[in-house]
This record gives sequence, structure tokens and C-alpha cells, in this order.
Amino acid sequence: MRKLIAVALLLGALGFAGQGTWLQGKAIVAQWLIAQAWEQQLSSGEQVRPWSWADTWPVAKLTAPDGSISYVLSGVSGQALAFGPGKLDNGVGPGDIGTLLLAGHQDSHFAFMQRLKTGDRLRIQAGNGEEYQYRIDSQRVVDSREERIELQHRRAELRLVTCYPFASLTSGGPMRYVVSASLEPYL
Amino acid sequence: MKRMIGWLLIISSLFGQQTLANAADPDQPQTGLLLMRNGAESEWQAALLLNTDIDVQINGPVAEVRIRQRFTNPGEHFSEGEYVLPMSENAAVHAMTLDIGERHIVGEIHEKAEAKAIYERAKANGQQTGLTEQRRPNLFSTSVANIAAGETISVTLQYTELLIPDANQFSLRLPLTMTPRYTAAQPLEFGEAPAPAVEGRIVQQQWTDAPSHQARLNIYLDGGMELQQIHSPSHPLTANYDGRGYQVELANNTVIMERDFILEWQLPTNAGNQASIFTETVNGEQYAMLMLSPAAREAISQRQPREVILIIDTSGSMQGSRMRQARESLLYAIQRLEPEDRFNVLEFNSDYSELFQEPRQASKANRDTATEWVAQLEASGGTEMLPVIANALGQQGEQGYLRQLIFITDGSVSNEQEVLTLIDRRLDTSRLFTVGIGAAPNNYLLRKAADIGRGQFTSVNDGQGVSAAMNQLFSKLEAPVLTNLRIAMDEGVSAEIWPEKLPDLYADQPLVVAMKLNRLPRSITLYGNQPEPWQQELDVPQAQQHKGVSTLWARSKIESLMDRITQGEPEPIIREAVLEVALRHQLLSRYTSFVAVDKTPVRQAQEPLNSQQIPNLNPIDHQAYPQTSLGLLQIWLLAAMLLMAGLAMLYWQRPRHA
Repeated sequence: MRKLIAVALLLGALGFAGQGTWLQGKAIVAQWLIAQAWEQQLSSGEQVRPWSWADTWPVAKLTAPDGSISYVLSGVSGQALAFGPGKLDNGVGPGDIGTLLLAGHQDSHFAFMQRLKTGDRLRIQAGNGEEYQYRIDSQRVVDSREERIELQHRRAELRLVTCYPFASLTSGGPMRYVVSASLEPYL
Repeated sequence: MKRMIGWLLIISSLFGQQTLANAADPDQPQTGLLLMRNGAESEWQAALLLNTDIDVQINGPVAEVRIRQRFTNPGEHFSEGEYVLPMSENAAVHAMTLDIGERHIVGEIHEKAEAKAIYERAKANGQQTGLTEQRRPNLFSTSVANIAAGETISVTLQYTELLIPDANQFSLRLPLTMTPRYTAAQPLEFGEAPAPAVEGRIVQQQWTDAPSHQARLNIYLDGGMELQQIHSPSHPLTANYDGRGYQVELANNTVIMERDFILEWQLPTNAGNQASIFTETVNGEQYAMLMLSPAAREAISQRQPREVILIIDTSGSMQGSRMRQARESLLYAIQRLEPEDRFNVLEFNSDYSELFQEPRQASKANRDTATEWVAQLEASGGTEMLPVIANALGQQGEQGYLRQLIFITDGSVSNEQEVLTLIDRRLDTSRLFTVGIGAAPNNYLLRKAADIGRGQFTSVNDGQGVSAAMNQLFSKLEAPVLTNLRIAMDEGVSAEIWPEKLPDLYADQPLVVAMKLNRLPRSITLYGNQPEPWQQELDVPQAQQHKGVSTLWARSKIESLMDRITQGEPEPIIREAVLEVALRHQLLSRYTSFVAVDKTPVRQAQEPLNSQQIPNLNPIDHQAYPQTSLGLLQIWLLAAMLLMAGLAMLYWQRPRHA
């Protein structure tokens, strides 16, 4: 009887490990494919889908202060975010006046957000190859039930959004961690 | 053993959490099940799926629309689902049917409370039943009870709508969702709970090929002639002419129910019939819809300077592209002012503020100040409409100026009735024009406010650009208006005409009246002022028989009756009058609902019934934060705990054998 329960428990453990590996693996492998699409896109100047059935495509390349790179996809649907951070369609593009808003998972692509501090530099490459640098000026926690996304139209801002708290047990919580950075004059 | 049970408890509690993660995790469509619950305390259940087929037949200015909603229960228990269905504010809903497999049950119209009672009785009895009620003039709710596991039940609603052209341009809007409405702050009595939201739950679409909230549209447009520019600012489409009319083909059919569908078409400019009349004879009574387009009028009087008060909604629901559209509309309006005009700008959310203390001359300098002020407006906070409207209508206008208010908003409030009553009381000589913004605006409030404000309603949408719509609005603001309109017909024609009080007529706008009469007149004379006395005689052409005219007449009568509540008449009297018309003409109204009941019970009394509210989708241009967590930590933690528990169990066995 005990053995049976033990076997069941171990199988369960294997199942969850498999699920975790699948989600994490998907996030990593997808980024690798997206990186290739990005390079192709830069050289050809045309939209390239990272895989034939993808409903999204890369729109920017983001470099974190620690040097880690993530490729940003168009749109912030749950589907797109499984593969990489997403860019809110309503926002502006890299370097433009207004808010460029990127969202990513706190436990995969945007895990680096918990280490960001004021003054850190974020670099972003636009689809035309131009590179821009943003300097972080604020971090805050918002409650998505109370507050909705407010885009501004006066200055070039990069905003990163992820779930909060970082070591949360459940997904789907209402709190968000928002980092805001301003465009630096030139690289 | 105790310890083992303890472990199992901890593990099973973690599994409970896992269900929650799955429910919100868009990455698990393979399960095919969405889980939802009604509150934090209630149990998880499989979410009902809701998909819609909309069939539209447009014949001249009349649209006949059939909305078929399929409620599917993918769970294992009997379910009851309720869905809040937005429909056109001009819809005359005249039929409802319930389809269960091959069976086809025709819904009956009843007084609202009576219909509800029939539904509740059938539901408790285990019978399959459906109910459609009106919650707001443009919000309805459909409930279906006792949907068996794995079964689909459809509710079909049928409505007729009269489309009124503007400068020969027609527009059909099929609302597919709505913006959460703001409930104005009210001092609550002690112990009183805040009023529940009128529109039910509104959620974000999690992924694009979700098995729910998809609509398939089939539209046939017979304009009576070859048409120009059939297009949609909301969805890409093409229209194919078959010699009689146009079959409209959407580039992507199905569409996600996260924005309204709009179809627009233009009549050739030489098609301008001055009058058209549609008739129908029902039970020996003759009904007619009359559409009159007065000939273009010369501006006799010289241009009167205007005092324009621009009011912009900067509440939270306006964030994102709506705020951009609103700002552009406002800037366009400011640029269109002439130096001799006066103007002011008011912005409101939870509070309101004014650009100037009082209206100023529209000089270059003042317009520049306004442009700068408008550029820095940002959207956040509540939507308190009453104070700002009271202020704008309360100000004394300057002598010799035409006072015009332009109100730019998405109309997402629940205190519509108070807003309309306030406009009715304080309007005086001012005129109120409304500009509707966004992918799912509250057109009822916008249109009605303009009706009562004796102005015009214009809808702005992204696809077409702001300037086209605003240009149309300004051509009306600037052209002379026909007021004090009155209709005269030949001797011997007696008619019950709705609306009783004819509206003012702006440029390019036809007059539409519904009549019940003893015989058709040969000609109709229209009298009015512009401000000089004005009259025009129009020959009534050969009447075209048209199904649905009596329905439109009844709807027009109900609307006029309901307006009297806004004007202060006691509701019980109006209710009696509306009930009589609505029951006789089989129309859904505030006081009448459709209910359909299947004969044989399917659910035994001891079997449970899960009830749930099916949410609406958050409109595409209404911002909400995306989901940004995979829940990996929880998954790994679960894996680790199960591993530990499993190993621990194997380990404990050893000492016994040794």
C-alpha cells in the first residue's frame, strides 16, 4: 500500500517536473528561434515569423543591465508571452515620444526585473536596427484591479511590467511591478 | 499514519491551488476547459462557452437582425448561464426562440415579473428554459437553465432596426461587447450595500483561438440600387454584388467579441429622393414609416457667432487610444473656431476643471493656450458626469451668441437616467452635441443626450480617422437649422404620429416619423423656422409594402413614452401605456420579457444545478494589465514536495525489514 502511494507521489512529482520543464523550455527554445527571426528581419527589412504557425513576430531586442538579452514580440496576449516578452500594441516604438510598454513573465524572461534599480541602463534595438538606451527612474507596484495602464504622450518612456510579488506561489494575481525608464539623448 | 494524512492534506491543498493556476493560465488550452467561479468562496466549475451567429438582412433603410447565441456546457453537471448582451439602442426585439437539438421552442412575451416567475418555476422543475430581459435600453440579458453536460442550447433573438442616413451615408453597428460602466459615487445609507454593476463581469480575452466569445457574421445588403463605398472601419471586409444586393464577406469570419462591428455604405448622391414611405397593414390597421429629406437650404441669415463649450471625458476608461481620439477631436474643434466665436474647454473625471474661468474669444493666442492645455490631459479616475454638465449648462450664455456644447466621451456610466434628466431640465437655449469614442461606446446615452439636447450625435472610430467624423459634425454646427417643425397632411387623413414633438433638423439629416393612419396621404407639407418661416410640400411616392413597419411604429411609440419619464412624468402611468403597446406588438421592453420553456423535465430534483454569469470581453481599446506569471515556482515546489513525500515513504519502510 505504502509503495503504491510512494509510486503515485513520485509519478506526480515527475508530472509537475515535466510541466515546469515544458514551460521553461518553451520560453528558452522560443527565444532562440525568435533570435534567428530577428536577425533575418534586420537584414531583409521584412517581417519574419519565428515559426510558420506563429501569430506574432519580434519587434525589438531588449538588453538588461546584466547583459541578458530577450527578444520582444508583438502583442501581450497570453500566447505571445509564453514565448517572450510582449510589446503593447497601443504604445509607441523604441525611441519614439510616448510610452513603449513591454510585459513579460516574472518567472522567465522578466525575472531580471527584480534586480533593477534606479539609474540602471536598459538598451533596446528597434526593427530598423537603431539602438536606444533608457535610464531607469522609478519602480512601483500597482494593483491591476484598481489601476489600468495609463500611456503618456509627452516624453520617450520605456515601461516594463511584470507580476508581483516575484516569488509568488500562484499565477494570475492582481499585483504588477512597473519599472519606468527615460530615453537618454544618445548612446 | 497520522503523519501521512497530514502530508496528503498539504499536498491536496496545493493541488487545489493548482486548479486556480490552471484557470488563469492561458497556456493550457489543451484541457479545453476554462474554470471559473462566482466568488472567492464558491466552488470552481467548468465555464460555459458562448458563441454567436449573427445574420443581417438589410433592405433599404431597414435591417432585420437575427442573433443566435449558443450556450455550451463542457462540464459534468447541469448548468445555468446568464449573459449580458449588448444590442443596438434602436433595436426593436420582436422574437425569441430556444433551440435544443432538434426541438424548436418559440418564446412568448410576458410582463417582466411574470416572465421571470415562469422561468424560475421551469428551472426549479428541471425543465430547459430561456429568458431574455432588458436591463438598460441597449443592454439585455439572456439566461438559459438546465443545460445538460456536453449539451448546447441556442437562444435566437430577432430584431428590426431602422437605419437613418446622414448625408446619404448609412451605418449599421452590431455591438459585440461593452466597456465596464462607472457607477457615480453616492452617499450610502448605513448598512446598505453598493449597487451591483449593471453589466456583469468583464474579462480579458486570454488567447485568440479560445473556444468561446467568437461571432460569425452573415450580412446581405440590398440598398435598392448599386452602392458606393461599402466598408467597415472596424473589420476588414469585401462586398460582392450579385445583381440585386451585396453579400458582405469578412476577411476573418469568425471575429472575437471584443469590439463592435460597424458597416457603412453610401448612396449615390443623385439618388436623393426627397421622401420615401414604407407601409404595412396588420390586423386591418395601416402603419407607415416616413422619411423626408428637405431640399438643401440657402443660408439666408448671416452667420451668427457661436459660444462653444467643449467637454472632454478624461476618466480611466478613456485611457490609451480613446484618449488620443478624444484629444484629436478636441484639437480639431478648437482649430475650426472663428475669431469672432467664444469658447471654453472643460475636462472631467472624478472632478472637473476648466481651461478659462469663463468663455473667451477664439483668438489665435487663446486657441494656442487651449491646444497646449489639451495636450497635457491624461486619463484616470472616475466618471462623474453630473457636476460638469450642470456647470456647463448652468452658465449664462453671452447675448447674441449661439450656445453649443460639444461633449466628447465613451459614455461609460450607469447613471444615464440622471444625466438625461439633468440635460432636459437645464438645456434652455443651449444645444448639446455628443461625440462617441472607442470600440464599444455606450451609444444609447450618447444618442439620447443629443436628442434631448436638440443637437446631433457623431461617432468617431479609429479606422476612419477623427477628422472625417468631426468635419461632419461641424458642417451641422455651422449650417442653419430647421426648428419648430410641424407636419400637415391632406384633409381626411387622421394619424397617430410618433415622435409627438418633431426634432430640429440639421443639414443632410432626414426627418423620420412613424404613423398609424386611416389612409395614406397624397402629399405632406412640412412647416418650420430657420429662423425665418419655412415650408416645403413633398409628394408622397408610391408606398412600398415592407414587413416590420408596424414593429418600428410600436418601438417609436415606446421610445417616446419612455422619454416622458426623463421629462418627469410618473413611471407607473408610463408603464401601463408601454405594457399595452409592447404586449400587443410582441416587443421586448423595460416592462416585458421573452420566455421559452421546454415541456419535459430533464434534471431530477436531487441533481445539482451550477449557475454562472458568462462574462463579456474587455473591449480591445480598454487597457488592462496582461498576465505576467507562469506560476513556475509553484509547479517546481509541488514537484519537489511530491518527490520528498514519495522518497520519505520508501525510506520509512526500510527499518522494519532490517
